[in-house]
Amino acid sequence: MTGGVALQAAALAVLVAAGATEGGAEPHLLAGAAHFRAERYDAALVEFRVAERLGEPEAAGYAGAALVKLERFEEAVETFETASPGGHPLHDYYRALACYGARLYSCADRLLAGLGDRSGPRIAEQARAIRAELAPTLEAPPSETSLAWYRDRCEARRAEGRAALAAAYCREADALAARRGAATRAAGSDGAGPPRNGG
Amino acid sequence: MRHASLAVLALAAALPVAALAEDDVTRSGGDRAMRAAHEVVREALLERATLPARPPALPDGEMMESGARADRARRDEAERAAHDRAARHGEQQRARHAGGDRDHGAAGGHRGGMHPGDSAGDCRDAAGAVRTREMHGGMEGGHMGGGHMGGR
Repeated sequence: MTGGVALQAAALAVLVAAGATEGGAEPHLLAGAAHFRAERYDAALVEFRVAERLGEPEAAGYAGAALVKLERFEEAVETFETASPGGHPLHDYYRALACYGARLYSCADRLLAGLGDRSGPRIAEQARAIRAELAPTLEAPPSETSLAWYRDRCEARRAEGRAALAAAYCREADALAARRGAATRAAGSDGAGPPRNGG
Repeated sequence: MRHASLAVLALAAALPVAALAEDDVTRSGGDRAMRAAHEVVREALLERATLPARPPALPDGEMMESGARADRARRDEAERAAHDRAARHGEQQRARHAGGDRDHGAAGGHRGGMHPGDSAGDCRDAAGAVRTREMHGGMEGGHMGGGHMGGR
C-alpha cells in the first residue's frame, strides 16, 4: 500500500467514524458535490466513499464518476460493476466513460445506446458523439493481437483477485471474438479475402 | 379518580402515536434532505460531464510494441538518473573530505565503476567489496570497470 493510499484510507476511516455520529451521509454527499464541481476529484472521491459506507449505496456510482475524472478507469469499472444499478442516466453515462477509458469499447457503446432520451439533451448529444466516434472501431473486425490483449488482461486481473474487472475484460474479448467470427463468415460467404485487422 | 385513570389511559395511548408521528416527520424531513443532497451531486456530475479526452483505439501489436518501447525508455532514463545521482553524491563526498588529488583514483572526477562514496577514498574491487583508503595500495588501477556501468 503506498503512502498516499494509506493516508486516504486513514482519512476515510476517520470521516466514516465522524459521520456515524454526526448527521450521517448527507453532509458528505454535499461536500463531495462541492469538490466535484471544483474539480477536486480526489477529495470528492473520499467524501462519496464515506457516504457509501454510511449507508448510501448510490454514492458508489458517484465515487465511480470521481474515479473516471481521475482517469483511474479500471478502478472505476470495478466500482460500477459492484455498485447497485442506480438507474439514473448519469450513472450509466459515467460508467460508459469508465469502460471507454479502460478500452472496453463494446461495454461503453452498449451503455450509451441504453441511455436513449432519458438522459436529457446534453448527455444524449454527448452520448451520440461518443458512439459516432466508437463506430469505426467497433465495425472493424478486431485483430488476433487485440483479442489476445483482452484475454491477457482478463487473466491478469483474475490472478490479482479483481474478479469483476476480469469479467469485464473477458466479456469484451467475447464480444470482439463474436465480431471477428461474424466478419470471417461474411468474408467467406462473399468469397472475399481474410478480414483486415482492426486497430 | 376514575377520571384520572381515564386521562392516564388516554395519555398512554396517545404518547406512542405522538412519538410515531414525530418520527415520521423527522424521517420524511431527513429523506427530503437526502434526496436534495443526491440532486445536488447529480447536478455537479452533469456540470462536469465531458467527452473522453482520447479517441478510441483497440490495442494492437504496434501499440503494445510502442508501449514496451516506452517502458524500456522509462527504465533507461531511471537508470541514467540513478547513476547521475550516485555520481553527484560521490562528488559531494569528495568535496566534503577535501581529499583533492590524494583521492584514490579520483583524478578527473567520476568514471566508470565508481559508486557513491568511492571518491571519498573508499572503492570497490571487481567483486564489489569495499576497500578503504588504507587498503588501497592493492587496488592501483583496479577502480575501473565495476559492474555499475555495464552496457552503458
